[in-house]
Amino acid sequence: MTSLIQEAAPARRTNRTLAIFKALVRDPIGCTALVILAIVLALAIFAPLVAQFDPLVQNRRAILQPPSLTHWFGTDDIGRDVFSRVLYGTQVSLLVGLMVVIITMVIGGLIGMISGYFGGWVDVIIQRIVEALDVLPSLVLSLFIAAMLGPSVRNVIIAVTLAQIPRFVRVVRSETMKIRNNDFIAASRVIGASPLRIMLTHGVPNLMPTMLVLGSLVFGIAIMTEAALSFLGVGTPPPNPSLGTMLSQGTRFIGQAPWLIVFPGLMLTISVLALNLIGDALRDVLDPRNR
Amino acid sequence: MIVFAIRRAVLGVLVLVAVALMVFVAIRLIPGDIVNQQLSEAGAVTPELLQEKRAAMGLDKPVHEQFLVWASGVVSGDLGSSLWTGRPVSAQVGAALLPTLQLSIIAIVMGALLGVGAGVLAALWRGTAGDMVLRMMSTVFLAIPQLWLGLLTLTGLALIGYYIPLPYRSFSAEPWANFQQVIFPALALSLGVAAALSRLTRSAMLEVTGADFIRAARARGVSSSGLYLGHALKNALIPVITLLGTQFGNLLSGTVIIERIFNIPGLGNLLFEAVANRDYTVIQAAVLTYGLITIIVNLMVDLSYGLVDPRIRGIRS
Repeated sequence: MTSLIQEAAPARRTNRTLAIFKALVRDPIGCTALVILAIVLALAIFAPLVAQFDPLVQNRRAILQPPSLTHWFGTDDIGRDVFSRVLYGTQVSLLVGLMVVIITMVIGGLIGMISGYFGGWVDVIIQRIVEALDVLPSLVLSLFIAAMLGPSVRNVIIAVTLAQIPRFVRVVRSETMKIRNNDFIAASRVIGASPLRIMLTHGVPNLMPTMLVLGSLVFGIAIMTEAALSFLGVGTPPPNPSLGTMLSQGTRFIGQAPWLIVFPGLMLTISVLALNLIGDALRDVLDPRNR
Repeated sequence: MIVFAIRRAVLGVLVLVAVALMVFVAIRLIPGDIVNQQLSEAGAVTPELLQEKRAAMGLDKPVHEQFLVWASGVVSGDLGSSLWTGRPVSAQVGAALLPTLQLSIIAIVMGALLGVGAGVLAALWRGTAGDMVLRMMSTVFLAIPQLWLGLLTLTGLALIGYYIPLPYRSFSAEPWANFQQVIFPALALSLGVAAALSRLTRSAMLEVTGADFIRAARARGVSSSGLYLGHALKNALIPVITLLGTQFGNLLSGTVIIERIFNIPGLGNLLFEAVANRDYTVIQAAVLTYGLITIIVNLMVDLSYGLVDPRIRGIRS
């Protein structure tokens, strides 16, 4: 009997993830957004194949050239190909975004669940810390942490993650408190399931929809924050191409070479737009009122 | 209501102390302090010289003693002096606070007007092409990073041959120059707020217009515009105000970037320079000031619920 249930549960869960994905693909906006994100992802991953130029190689004979057939997005002030740099910069953006989402989901989800499930003084302490972090505007907090740690991709991930965790903790906590009052939780507590087991077998699957929606939002925010930190000079260190650093270098030629501003920002916006739309579509798909 | 306000204010002060403590400890946990930074530029560094400098700045004492010295100063209004320039920090923060507040208040007001206006229109025009266009615009502006929007504004202005006058002038000194310097960054900041607000206003309006009391008012013969603005909007406003509070935090984040793009000597620029110089006292003061602004805004949001909804006034007093 028990073995039957245990075998059935994981199978049902994968079906559910698959069902969510299928519903997302059937949704016209969700499908479009997925396709856009897939294109951005492919461009970033296969950047070495797509880009005809090395993003770091300078060409003194092609300085500040406007977009042309050779240089699709033009060249910068030391003759580097902007198209290649945008692709490699997107790699860094997506890497940072992905890492931030994963770490925030795990840590923020865990803290939120503990806070919501146990309540009491554990909850009080966690909530006070979250409130203190939450009082600072997220970019101020990220800037502060990134500046203290020094510029590197790893430190950017840490800085952005720490600023996003409070948002996750708050939402997961309140969702957990809703789920906790269900009869099936009481039932498994009665049959002697440990809190850890309850959280993993009942908490995580039931929290997944909320976490996915919030995750897609945080992904977009992380990409924007990485760009902002790099723009301020405390993010991805040069010479690595980063969309934020490119924008910061572009400010010196603002009326003269608008392509230095337009293309990196466009890539940033398209990525964030696709992620936001996926989040919206997921919310519609997962909202029981829409079924 | 007053009891409620006082309780929130006390809580806010406690949170602020927690923030101060976190910032204070974080700064001192990180290796490499201002003394290293200053002396590395001077050349010949002896351990005795390092010790002497640290002692002069009070950096040789244990962390908790340093915090107490600093905290008691803050309470009496003395934020210390900049470790780098020696100028009093309170003067620096005070001078930087005004441009940031001016910018963010103009931006939040513009964002609120644009966003609520667009949201009401979209709800009125539900299902038409106008509704579609407004909703698409809000989706797009929600995804555009403030960083890019600011730079695009500058690029656009440069392309039509308009350059914002520099350097920065305060409103009291030169109102016209100040207006030109603030209006474009404020616009760039406000569009994201407007996008978020218009979505929520639209759905809140649609939810409210389905309610019975709206049908009753319609049956009573209340005019259509009176219905939307007087009855529906007023009742749709509570979630909108909540979001306005959250958006103010995002907007403050945006000011850090926008101030650098548009060369506005605000809190963001101050923080950025202090961070580059490891100027502890200035960093602490700037970060705390951001916290203070957020706490005051949150308090105002809490109190404004009572203004909009008399039921809440009753519960909380």
